[in-house]
This record gives sequence, structure tokens and C-alpha cells, in this order.
Amino acid sequence: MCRPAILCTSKEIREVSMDLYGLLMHRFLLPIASHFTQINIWDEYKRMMQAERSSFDELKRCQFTKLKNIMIHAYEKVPFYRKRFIEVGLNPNDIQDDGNALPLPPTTKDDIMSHFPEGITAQGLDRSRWKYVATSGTTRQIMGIHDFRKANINWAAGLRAHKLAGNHDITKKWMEIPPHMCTNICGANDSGKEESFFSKELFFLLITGNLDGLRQHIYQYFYERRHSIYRRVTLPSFGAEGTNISENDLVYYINAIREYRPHLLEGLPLYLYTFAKYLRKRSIASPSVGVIKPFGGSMTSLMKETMRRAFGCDVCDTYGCSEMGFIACDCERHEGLHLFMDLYHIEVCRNGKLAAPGELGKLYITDLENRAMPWIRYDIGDVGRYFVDDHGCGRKSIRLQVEGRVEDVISNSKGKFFTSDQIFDFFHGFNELDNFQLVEKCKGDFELLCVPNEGAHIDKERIILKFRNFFDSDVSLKTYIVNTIKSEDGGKFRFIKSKSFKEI
Amino acid sequence: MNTSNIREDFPFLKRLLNEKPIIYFDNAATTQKPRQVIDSLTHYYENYCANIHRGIHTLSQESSELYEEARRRVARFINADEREIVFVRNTTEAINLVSNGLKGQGKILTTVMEHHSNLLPWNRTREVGYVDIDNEGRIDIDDLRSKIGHSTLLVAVSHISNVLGLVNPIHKVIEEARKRGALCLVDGAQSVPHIKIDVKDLGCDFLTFSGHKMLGPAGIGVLYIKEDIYERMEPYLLGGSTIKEVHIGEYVPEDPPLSYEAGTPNIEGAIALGTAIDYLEKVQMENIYSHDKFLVELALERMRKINKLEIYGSLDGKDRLAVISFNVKGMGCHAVAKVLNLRENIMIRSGFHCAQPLHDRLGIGPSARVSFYLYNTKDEIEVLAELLGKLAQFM
Repeated sequence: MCRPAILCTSKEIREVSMDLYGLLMHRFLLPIASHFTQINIWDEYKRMMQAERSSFDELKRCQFTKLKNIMIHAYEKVPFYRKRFIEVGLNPNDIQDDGNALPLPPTTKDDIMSHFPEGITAQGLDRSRWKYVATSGTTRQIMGIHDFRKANINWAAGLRAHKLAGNHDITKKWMEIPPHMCTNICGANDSGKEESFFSKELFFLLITGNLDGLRQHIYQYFYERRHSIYRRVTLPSFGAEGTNISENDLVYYINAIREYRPHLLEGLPLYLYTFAKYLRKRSIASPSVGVIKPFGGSMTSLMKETMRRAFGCDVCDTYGCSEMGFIACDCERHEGLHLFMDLYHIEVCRNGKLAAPGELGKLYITDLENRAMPWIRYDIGDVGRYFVDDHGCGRKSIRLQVEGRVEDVISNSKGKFFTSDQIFDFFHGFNELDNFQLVEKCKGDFELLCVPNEGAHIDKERIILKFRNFFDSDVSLKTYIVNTIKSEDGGKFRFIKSKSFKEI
Repeated sequence: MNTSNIREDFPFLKRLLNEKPIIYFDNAATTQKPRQVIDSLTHYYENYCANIHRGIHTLSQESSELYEEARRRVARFINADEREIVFVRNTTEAINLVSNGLKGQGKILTTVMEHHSNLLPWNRTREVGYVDIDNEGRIDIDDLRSKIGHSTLLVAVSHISNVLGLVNPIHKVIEEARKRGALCLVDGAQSVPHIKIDVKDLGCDFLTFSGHKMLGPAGIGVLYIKEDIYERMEPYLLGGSTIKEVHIGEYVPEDPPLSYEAGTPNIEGAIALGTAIDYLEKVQMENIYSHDKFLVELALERMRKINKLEIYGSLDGKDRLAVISFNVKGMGCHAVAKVLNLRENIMIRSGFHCAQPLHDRLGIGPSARVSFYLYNTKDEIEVLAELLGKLAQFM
């Protein structure tokens, strides 16, 4: 029997309401809110999308101009940087775009923290609309400050990254699974209470006719509720169980994803990879997901391919950090992440000098837009490579390939570096291994924790032999069978722990 | 009390980080250890290391004697009988022991300000009621009176809040419990290190505290059980040490307190706790109380002057001892802790301090907490206040 045409299925109703929500948000609510609160994110967003169409030379020129401006600003306004410039005898006006590394020492996390706030922020600026930001890890927490403009640029850069990598926008459903173990019991997210809209403050602002205050009040109200506006829901992390959670827990996650049908599914790469492996192992139909994006860790090519096959959707990647914002994002070719050159300057350095394209190096990032608290040559702690060739996607910016944390890089007796991503993909090439952790106790002496796949036999000798062929013939490797790999304090995983890490 | 001399006894104070001394304000979590306590552990390992009780050989007998001597020291310290002292790992274990070992039905009454250790063990096994606090964090005695009834088996209350540092009217609470025939457990984790406690004067049935918060090592704690309450208790862990004889299918239990100390206990921990108590008694608890009171009042006075610093609980220094929780408006508590750490080596705690329901009750998120002890100084508080002032002014 045919259903009457006027009736819709619940799926259709959902889709129609989603379209209406999108229309309402895009055409009315957001432009009105944007105009009233002066957040200007739509203008910023349009400007950024235009920048994506610029030529490489235009991007370079824009980037260098902004770089010089922020260096001059830091020199003039920020005590920490001024001292740094003076120590190395550098006047920022003299900086040249000569293809060399910037002649200033990198800024470390400890530099930031030990001068925070007054030593590392710009003096003499209006601080009334500065916004404090912090990473949510419990052990290596670092904080920053964004002025109102930078906060809005970040917001717009987020929209840009989501649009360009995965065609996600503000109105589509978004599900995330962050790694933080300690969020609730330790209050590690520093979450404050959501203030009521109809508060004493609102009453006071209305009585006194304080329009600026009213704008801020409305901005703050919606900012605190941005997750609801984004239709963003959060699932709990794997917690203390480590990499290998129970099948019941896996089913819970899969069912939650299936039920919510997110356009964007974000999570720690290990989580998403675990779901993908489970779906494939049990031959379960994948939940409906528009696009998958990892965050909070590095995604290897093996992970990406496994996710793509299991979920049957595109897997996109972005790069950024809480203290700065979105820095780069994927394109449909998936050959590295395009740097937002209008917002950031990145140096990939090897032994203190600029690495050649494709060569592994440490990443130093300069935020071109944060005038409240400039980040110049910030040592973010990641390693990667950059590529300048035009690979034909239409975007001309340089591309980054981020390959994990610098402290997880190991080197063999010939001095060749191996990143955590390379090691991850190597060990996950063994069918019998579900998860692993490689610990370098001292140079050339390793322990390997192996979580076997269901019913699999671990042939330790074969693993040792292959590892010696892959890494170095002259290493010691002891293997141990375990049930799970525990996460670090903050809930993230380190699959390679290098004790002999040296400066790259 | 000569703080300079006391500081000489604490090796950690000689450590420099980035060429600056450490300012340790996380004493409510754990305290530093004096040389005497450290030496006591080493001395035990070097001379007496052996398992206690029932050993015929010299070392076992010496070790047993030292362990039992420690029990006597603890008993003297709180004016109890040595038979009333059960060694446990910590306050948490002590409360769990009571929760599982106390016979009889009835409701447990506790408060919303408690450490999770004085909430969760009760929740698991009993019906629990919660006494409210006022907006300044003080126990609402009227609410206690209205909730305590003849069906109340036990009232479990902390003597000093580990978040607010408020000294609860513990005599009043015990009096109310006794009026209704209820037992009373006092969580003394934050009070025993600072206040001269006399269990006979208090009149409580149980008192719990941890060695590591009073200069002793971690892993040793104390449960005081009033002797006549043993009749209403049964051991919840059985095994070695808890029995006089065992036959297949039956056993004769050991007398308390040994019947509550199953397995090999933390022998060296108990001995070192005895040394820590000696140290505290030598300094005199009255002096420690006055010193800690002075520090908290000074810190309160300085911190109250800082705009954008939100202090939780009563601002009257008379209500408090040794602990202040606060937030800098606009800056997360973990960030505050990190900045204090990196700029001036000030070690403080941030989070919910294992008292999330209290934070919920106060309508706040996580907080930063400073807590003082006998080796802290006025100058250290001035450094803290100055840096907090800079942070608050900036934000």
C-alpha cells in the first residue's frame, strides 16, 4: 500500500526541520545576533574564504606583512618579547623574508606560563573584552588570552575549517568524544556555571541604558550555549580503561552514534579507530555519519583508511590547539593540511634551521592575529613536514603533515628519526596486534606492550625480527602481553614513549 | 614556637626550583616530612625489619614492640586507650571499615560539605540523609536537629571542612547525636594535625585521621573506636592477625584492635607516625594551632583586599583553620595553580578537592585551595598575596 504523499517519514521530518533550522540560523538569528553583538564572524568568515582563493605569492605577502606587524607590536608592547628581541639584538623592523628561520629563540610553554599574565600580554590595551582560554589537560595546562577580535577570528576560522574539511556548518549535527578523563571529578575543564539570561545584571544594564554591557551580556549568554546552537553533543571518554574497552561499551558508542546520526563525528583518533576496527571485525553496518574528524591527537594514514572503509564516509583532518585556534585543515585530496597563511606563520625547523620541504622538523607557530597575547615562534611540541608544491586542489597555501609529538620521536643508531605515526602504522600492520605501546627505556633498549587481537597468538620472535628490520638491527626489544594500554593523565594516549628523545 | 628552627628539620625546604625555594601550600592534601620521620623509616629498615606478632625471633619481637609502642603514642595523642586504636591505611579506609563493620539498621546522617570519603562509603550500604549548610558554609544545626531522629544510627561529620577550612561545632553535633541515641563519627583528617584532640572530651564514638596529613608517611591512618562500641562492630576483613585460632569451618576471633587489622599491616608507617606524633608533641599542638590560626587569618586579611578574588565560606578568620578556597574571577582555578607554581614555586591544589557536592551546594565550579602548616611563614603568605593580587588585577 502506498503511503499518502503528504505524510512524511520521521527521517524526512527530521531532515526538513534540519533545513528549517539551518535557514533560520543562517538567514535570521545569526546575522541579527552578529550585528547586535558586533562579533563580525560572518564578515571574517567571508574574508577568510576569499583568502583561500588567493595565489601563493599573495598569501606569502599578506603573511609576511602581518608577521612583521605582530613582531613590531610584540616588541613595543609585550615585556617578555621586548626582552627577547633586545637579548638577540634584533629590531623587528629589520626582519626580512629571506627564507631563513626567524632570528628569535622559540617561545616555550614554560616561557608563557612563567610570565603569565602581565609579562606576556600587551600593555596599554583595553582589556575589558579580553577572553581567557586554556587547554583542558590536567598536567601540561597552558593558558592564553584572546582579545575580542581574535576570539571572533577563531570562531570564524573554526567555521572555515569545518566547511573546507568535511563541508560541516553550524547547523549540522555534531557529535564529539573528547579524551579528558578528569573532566568531572577534578573539574579539569574549569567549567563555570551558565548564567541566566534574565539576571540582575541584565536588569541593571537595562535600567542604566548600558548598550555595550547589554551586548556583552547577550554575547556571553550565547557563547556559553554555543554547543546547543551548534547541535553539538558530547559522549564520555574511554576513561581509565585504556585502549581496550569492553564490547558492551563499544556497542554503547556505536548505538549512540547510530541514533544521533551526526554529520560530523569528532573524537580522539584512537577512539574513532577502535570503533572502525570493531565495525569491520563484527561486520556491523556502519552508523550514518557525514564526515569523521579526529582531534586531540595525530591520525595516521592507516587509521584514516580504516575509518573511511568502516564508516563509509570521508575522513578529514584539521590542526590546531586551544590556545591559538584552528591552524590548518584538509582538502578533498587529503595530501596534507593547508595552513591558514592569513592567520598563522609556521616554521618547520631541523637543528634550528628551516627544514627543506618534505623534511621532518619541529613546528614553531606564530599567531598573526593575537594582539592581546602574541604567540611568536611558539614551540607547540609537534613534529611534521611542509610542502609548497601546488597539488591542484585549488588552494595555494602550503601544506602541513603533522606526525605526532616531538617527545615521541625515536631515532636509530644511524640517526634516522621515526615519528610516532610511522611506528604506529608499523605495529598496526601486524594482524595479531590490536594495540601496542613501545617504550624506549634507554637508547636502543625497548619494551613492547602488546594487546593481542581476539583469539590471536602473538609471535614475539617474529615481531622482534620485523622491528629490527624496520628500525634498527642493533636494538633490544622485550615484548609483554597486556589487556589494554593505559592513557596518560589527561586521557590521551602515547603509543611511543621515547626516553632518549633529543632535539630535532 | 620557632618556625625557623622547625624549617631546618624539613629537607624539602632546601630544594630550589629555578633557583627559588618552594612554597608548599598543599598541606590539606599531604604534608611534608621532617628529618626525624624520614630517619625513623630508614632506621626501621636498617635495624628491625621483620613481620610483627607471633614471631619468636628477636627482630619480630622488636618490630612488634615498636609497632605497639606506636599504637600507644597515638592513643596518648588523642587521650584514648591503646585498645581503641586501629591502624588503617587512611581516613577513607577507616570510614569504610565503620560503614561495613557497624552492625544494626538505621539511617546515617552526614552533611553536604563532606569529603567524598565521608559520603560514598555510607551511600553504598545505608540510607543516608544530608544536613545542609548555610551560605557561608557553616553546618545548619537546626537542619541537623530536624533530620536526626530515633532511627538515626550514626552521624558522620568532618571536624574541619577540607575545602572551606571551617571548624564545625563538633561538640554541638555530638551532643545532638547523643540526645537521640545516635553514634557519632568525626572525620578528623583536617583537624587532628592542627588541634589538640581529646576523644574523651569530644565524646565521639569514632574518630578517623590520616598519618600523611600530620607529618607521617602515606599509607598509615587511624581509626579510633570507643571501646564499648566494639560490641556493635564486626571485622569486615578477615585473615592473618584477626584470629586466635582457626579450624576448618570455624575460627576464634582475635580481640580488638588486632581483629580489625587483617594481614601484615604498614609496620614502618605506624612506627613513623609515632615519630611524627612525637615531633608534633614536642612543638606542642597548642603552638601549632596558634601558628596555623595566625597564618589563615593573615592570608584571609590579605586575600580579602584583592578585588576579583572570590573566597568561599565564612570570611571571619575565627571560623577557620589552615584552609582557604577561592577563585580568581575570569581565570580557571587550574590556571591559577599553574601560574603560582611556575612564577613563585607556590604549590596549591585546584579542582573539587574530593568534595564535589559541596561545590554544587555553593553553586560554584572547581576552586583553588591554599592550606598551611607549621613550617609555613608570614613571608610566604605575602608572596602568595602579592601574586594573587597581580593575577586578579590583570583579569
